[in-house]
Amino acid sequence: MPSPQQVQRAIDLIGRSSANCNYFFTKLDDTTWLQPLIERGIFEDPPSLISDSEGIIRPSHIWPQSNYFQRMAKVCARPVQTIVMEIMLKAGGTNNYFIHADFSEAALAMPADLAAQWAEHETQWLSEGNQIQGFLDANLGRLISKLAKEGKPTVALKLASELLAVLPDPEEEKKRHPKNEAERIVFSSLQPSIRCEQYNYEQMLKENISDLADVVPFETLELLCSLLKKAVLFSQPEEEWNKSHDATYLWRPAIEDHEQNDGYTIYDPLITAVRDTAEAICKRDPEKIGEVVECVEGFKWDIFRRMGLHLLRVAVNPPIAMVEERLVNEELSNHPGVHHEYFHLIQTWFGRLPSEGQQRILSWIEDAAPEKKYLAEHEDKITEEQKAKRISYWQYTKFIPIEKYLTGKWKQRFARLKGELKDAAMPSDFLVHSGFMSSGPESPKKPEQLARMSMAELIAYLKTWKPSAEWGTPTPDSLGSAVGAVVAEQPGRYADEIERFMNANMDPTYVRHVISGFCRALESGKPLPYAQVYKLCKWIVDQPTDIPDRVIAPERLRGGLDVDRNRRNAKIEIARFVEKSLEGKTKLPFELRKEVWSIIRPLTNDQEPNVEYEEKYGGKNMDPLTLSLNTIRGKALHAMMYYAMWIYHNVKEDIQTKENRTPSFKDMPEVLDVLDWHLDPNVDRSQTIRAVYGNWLPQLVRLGPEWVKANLFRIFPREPDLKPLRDAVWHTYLLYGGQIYTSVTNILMEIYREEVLRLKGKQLGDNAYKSPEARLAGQVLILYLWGEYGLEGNSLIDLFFKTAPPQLTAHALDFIARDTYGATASDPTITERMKALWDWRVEQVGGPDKMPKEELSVFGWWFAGGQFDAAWAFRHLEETLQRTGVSRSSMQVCEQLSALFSNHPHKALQCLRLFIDHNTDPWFFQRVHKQKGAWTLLEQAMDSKDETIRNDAEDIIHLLGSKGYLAYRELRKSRRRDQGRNQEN
Amino acid sequence: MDDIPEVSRERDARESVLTKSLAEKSRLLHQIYLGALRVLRQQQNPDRFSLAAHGFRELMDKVFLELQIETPALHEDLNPKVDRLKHEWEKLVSRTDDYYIQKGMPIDHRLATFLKATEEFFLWFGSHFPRIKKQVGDGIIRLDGMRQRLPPILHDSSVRTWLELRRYFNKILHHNATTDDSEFIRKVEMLETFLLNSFYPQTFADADEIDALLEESR
Repeated sequence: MPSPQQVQRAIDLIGRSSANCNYFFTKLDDTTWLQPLIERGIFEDPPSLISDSEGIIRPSHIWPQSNYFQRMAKVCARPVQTIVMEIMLKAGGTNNYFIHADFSEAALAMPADLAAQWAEHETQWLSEGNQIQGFLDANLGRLISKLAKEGKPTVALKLASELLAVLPDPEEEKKRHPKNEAERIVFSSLQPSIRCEQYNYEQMLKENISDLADVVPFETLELLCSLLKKAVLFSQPEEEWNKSHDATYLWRPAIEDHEQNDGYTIYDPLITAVRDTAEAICKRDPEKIGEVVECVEGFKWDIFRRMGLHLLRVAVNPPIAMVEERLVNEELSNHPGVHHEYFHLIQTWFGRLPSEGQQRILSWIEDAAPEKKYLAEHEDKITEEQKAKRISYWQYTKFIPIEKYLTGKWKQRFARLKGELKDAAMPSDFLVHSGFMSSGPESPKKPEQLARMSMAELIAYLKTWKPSAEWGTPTPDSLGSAVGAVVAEQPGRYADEIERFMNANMDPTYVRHVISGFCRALESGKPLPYAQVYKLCKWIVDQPTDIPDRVIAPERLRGGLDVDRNRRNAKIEIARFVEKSLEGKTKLPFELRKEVWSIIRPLTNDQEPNVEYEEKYGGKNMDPLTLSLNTIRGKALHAMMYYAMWIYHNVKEDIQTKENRTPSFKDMPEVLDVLDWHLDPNVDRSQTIRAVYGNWLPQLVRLGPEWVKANLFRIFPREPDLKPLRDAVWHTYLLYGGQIYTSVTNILMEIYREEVLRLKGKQLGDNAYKSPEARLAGQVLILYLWGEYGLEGNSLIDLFFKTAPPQLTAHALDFIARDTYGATASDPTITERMKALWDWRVEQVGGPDKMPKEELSVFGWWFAGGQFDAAWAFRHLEETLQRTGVSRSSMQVCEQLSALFSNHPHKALQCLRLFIDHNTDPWFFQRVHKQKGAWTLLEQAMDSKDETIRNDAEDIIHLLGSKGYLAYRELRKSRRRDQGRNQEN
Repeated sequence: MDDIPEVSRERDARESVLTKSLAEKSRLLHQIYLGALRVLRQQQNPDRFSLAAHGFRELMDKVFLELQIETPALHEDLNPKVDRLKHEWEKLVSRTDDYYIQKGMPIDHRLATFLKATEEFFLWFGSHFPRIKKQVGDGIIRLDGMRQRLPPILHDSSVRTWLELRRYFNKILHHNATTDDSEFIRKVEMLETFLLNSFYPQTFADADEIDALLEESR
């Protein structure tokens, strides 16, 4: 027991700083201090959790006292534990989950009755909506196990129901009112939420709920079912809550563990937990199967019906009446939501059903009533032959799971259907099957089957095969995809006979896939008879994009997804193929120039995109360049630029030799005509097309600098109503134009100046560094470093710093420093220009005290690069650190300080101290790197022969300690040891 | 050296450490502290306590300002608020005709204005001291290395001590109280302790002391 004097000394020490307070409670391992400290009020009013403006939780919210309780609870006797519990309950109102984690850990070490008090407290605390993080969820999970095992299951159940609660989607309100089409798509599904990370949630279900289920199995099962029901409810709008159908068969195709289960949603662990709990009850007591199934099915929704069917299937000896009741249920037998489980239950149990039940099921199959009903509703769109085929297929799918039980006429009937439908897809126990790369229906024929067909057979098959349009069954698109795979493997074989394709007037869906196959063949470097493929392309290009009389049948096929509505996709694919064939690595014969152009030219006149198209799909959904890659005319103009560069490279040598010049638009007048034509806003007012000019601006300058000069203000119009067109070119050039060429920037200098002036008052949002403005800022400085202009008044850089907001000027200074950081050998001219720039900027704003903090804080990168003389670098670093931190380059700055220490010990220490004062990253010094940075700097300083340096270093170590970075104590201790050794010697 | 008394040497060491620490933090704080010490040592100066107290009071206020800690409540002046009240009262007394009130008529507008001013004054007065306490408390937390609040009992005691010190220096600087060397130095040392804990922490020396204390109490 400490004396009153010792307690007072402790209070005095604690009162000096929170670092002392933390240290004291971290070291205290004696329960006799508990009472005196309670009497002095040291355990009252723990700190609440507060995030800073950036949402970072400060470690200072850790209350060291709670850690003391946690440790003491494990070693003390009950009377002391009772006192600790009283304090815990009193302090437990705090929102500070770190404290709750410690308290819960303490409760784990206490007798069950005390632990139950804490569990009840936490149940209430959770129900008030408090946030949980850190170790709290895991500790509360362990508390559930403990209480279950130690005779307090009711309390454990209540805690579990709050801890594992499934809550509505926090964005539900926002999702109900989407602002645009993109939001409507993104927000199309509600996501129920839980209180903790999903991984932790799953762990608790696996490890702690099973303990609970051992003691109170049915109560646990009911709890889990109610959680699962909430997950189902909160996944759909409230107005649909009175239904009982859910879409769980899409998210969790099988109740049993299966590779088709993706396991990404909260459904999965809950479904698994319900299943495992139910199965465990039945395993322990097989007689309980009926009760378990009734309990589960009592929760109504499809998922619980599926669960019931599954449990009956896996049960050792389920009551046959229950099985019969579910299998001889016509509604259930045709319900897509329970298909998988019904399929397996009937596959397992059909043979043991009473004969009457079997006959009823067989008679439903014979009647095919649901399919006939559907066909009657769509009578006018389906031929008699198609009707008969669909009925046969429907019956076939129903016979599949009971195939082995069929006898007599039913067996013959099945055999006949099987023969009739040999080309049909094999009915599966899943309605929707997910593949490795994509999710969707499979092809009716596998690529290897298609590869075995002759061209004539393939064409005949493609012409005659008809999709059933049942959900999940093969579609023209899935068949086309398989055809594309075959073409990609043997392009030569199919290219040679391509006329047959054209003669057969093949559906555009299949043509698209065939061209896509040729593209893939090119990508993999396979030789290709280009002329043949170009014939196919030309055939499609010469036909109109729209097909007015096209009938998509059956009607249930989704136009645009299952089958192409028109030739649009095929034409885009053609433009892609042209690009691929013109790329440098391919060997397209130059003699095909005319053929290539005959394909590109018509595509550049396509109507897509028009203004309406851009309004619908452009704007915030897609930038103009992306749109250009997904529209016919846009893609065609890109292909044309590939074509231009292909000509350039092919004629270069010849022209150089004969005419002593480089190729230009003169050598490709057809390209210039198209470029000129689309620059006329009365002809083409599309931002998408302008983006192509921006993307290819360097190449345009290479092919026709005079043309670009002469057309500068047609490319970058100044008229206010054409601003969107100018922005489309300019932004695309900045963001996607690639490398900077002075040949381009010199021509564009007037545009650069106009655009810099437009930066005045510009507000930049999040991700500003990816904006065109940020790119412009970076380019302005790069051009200065290259010596394109100086710092004189009215130069582009002068204009930029006078106009742009601090966020951008800082970005520019940051960008060039990062760009040169880590360079193995710095160019002295660049270094001098950078120094001149910084000095000029400091002077321009009226001294370092007036410099915007955003700009100052990037000096860290300048300093860290190490290319400047130390005196200059230290001077500006000090000026910076006296006003602000250098958070983004902290590590690099500390490394450079350490590197410079040997020659500049005082300056390095002084800057480190200033750095610590302005460091805003609470975790920076927490992550101790003993091989570099602040640690090695202080290590060197503590080893110094100069006492003032050692003392300064020791002061800094204390300073770090006062901020809670206790690891640095080691540096001071080692010095003391060394001093001791020296004195002994 | 041996002739210098122990107390004086301790003070010298303390002053020199604090002087250095303040210089690293802020030139202004450093100047104020040195100025206050210098005037305190002017034994011939009859008003040295008042002048030094002014420096130390300023040091207390400027510490917060230099660290960008907002303490507007500390600087709010009572005088203009009382003046306004007095002005309204005088207007009321000189001009209000109590006829309306006697007759149970609607309240006179001058009286209404006065009542409003009174209400505003008391609202301000009621919140002024809690706000000072809160702002000084926040300032003290900012002076802590981890910016963490100590257990409330210790935190509140620090706030109380800070405010008492400030009140003390205020009284002395306004000649509202007398003092002597011993009392004044004690107050200065209390202030210095505060500042040293923040600007010249000896965390690991304290940790050594805590280790020894816990060992001793076993």
